[in-house]
Amino acid sequence: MLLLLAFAAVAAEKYALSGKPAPDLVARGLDGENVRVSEHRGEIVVVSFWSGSCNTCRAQLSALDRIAKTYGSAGLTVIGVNLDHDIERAEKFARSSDVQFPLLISTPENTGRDYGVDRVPMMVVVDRAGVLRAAHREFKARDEATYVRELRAFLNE
Amino acid sequence: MPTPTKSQAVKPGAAKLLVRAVAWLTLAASAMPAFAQDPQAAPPPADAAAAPAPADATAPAATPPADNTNATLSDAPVGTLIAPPADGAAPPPPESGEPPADTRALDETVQDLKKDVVDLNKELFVLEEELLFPANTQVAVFVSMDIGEFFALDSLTLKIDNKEVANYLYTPREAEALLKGGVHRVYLGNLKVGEHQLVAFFEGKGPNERDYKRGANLKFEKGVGAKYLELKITDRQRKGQPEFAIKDWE
Repeated sequence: MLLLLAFAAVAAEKYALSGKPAPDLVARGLDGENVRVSEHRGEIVVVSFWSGSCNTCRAQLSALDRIAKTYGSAGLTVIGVNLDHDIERAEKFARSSDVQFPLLISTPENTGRDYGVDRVPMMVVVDRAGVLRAAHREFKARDEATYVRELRAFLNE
Repeated sequence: MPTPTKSQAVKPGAAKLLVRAVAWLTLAASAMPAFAQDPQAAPPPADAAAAPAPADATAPAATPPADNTNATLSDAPVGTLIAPPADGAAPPPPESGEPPADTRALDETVQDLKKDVVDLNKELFVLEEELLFPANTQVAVFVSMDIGEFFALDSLTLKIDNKEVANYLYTPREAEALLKGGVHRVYLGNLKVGEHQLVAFFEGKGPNERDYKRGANLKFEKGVGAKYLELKITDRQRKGQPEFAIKDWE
């Protein structure tokens, strides 16, 4: 029991916004269409924050793209959100990546703060009720399996 | 004698709501102990088939006699320990398959409570709006679209008295909803009585899919009542161009 409580405490510390409603976020996608996170209520939404100067972000976006292709029909939506001031670099980065989900650029300045982003890459998971449930910072190849396991659990809720 | 203002008129409503909230809490508090103390009030198991069968003559000697499983507190003398059902099982569901009368009554109470909560929430929402945006200062701006053949709305920026008060990006779904007759309240705020100026900048795709940006402005007089303004986007068929207008809500 103590072990469980300790684990819960560590998990709670991991992402301060866990359990809170996801802040609404709307921005223009690379394809010119605006995307609003709250429009995907009822789906499991993964929001991945990335930067054009971060190579690990590219790996994470590719992993999320593979996951989105597999679980998209089960109600999983992935949205990539750029946090750069340098829009040109962000666009260049986005166009060179071949992900199928929307990559948002020119996001409002308070986006990173609203979502408690302290480094990139970072992804957060929003559940079907629009509540922030989990966050993952950094990315390693083995994390893809962790993402799948976690997202499957959320999809099954 | 001064005439009562809108904010003064709200106070009796707030008191009434408070009384309702207290009444609701009292009702909820009274329902909960009844649920906890009355074993008959406990809801039946979700799956009656899954409930263990009551103890019978073949039950092991260690289990209490089957007769005791139906004993109630009123039947037993003071100080008698009432044996729980065999294996701690819940009492079997009635033969007819219908829930006991007590359960039905409890269910009705719960449903009534739920309805009260929804009603209360609705009234609190209205009250909140009345308090935050009293009618004598309230200004609301709505967006509507007609046809939309020559213009696909992408974003809207709103300025009142040279101060940006709203900036809204429309997703394709929202733009589609507007085309289907939806109306979007893009701004709700407070303004003092007097003359004000509203400027709206519309951005989107114009004829031939070209980037299109237009502005519209209106000087309006804010009176003592609430003011509703409408930003109306229509198609001017003869010119093959969209038209942007701001008018008082009708």
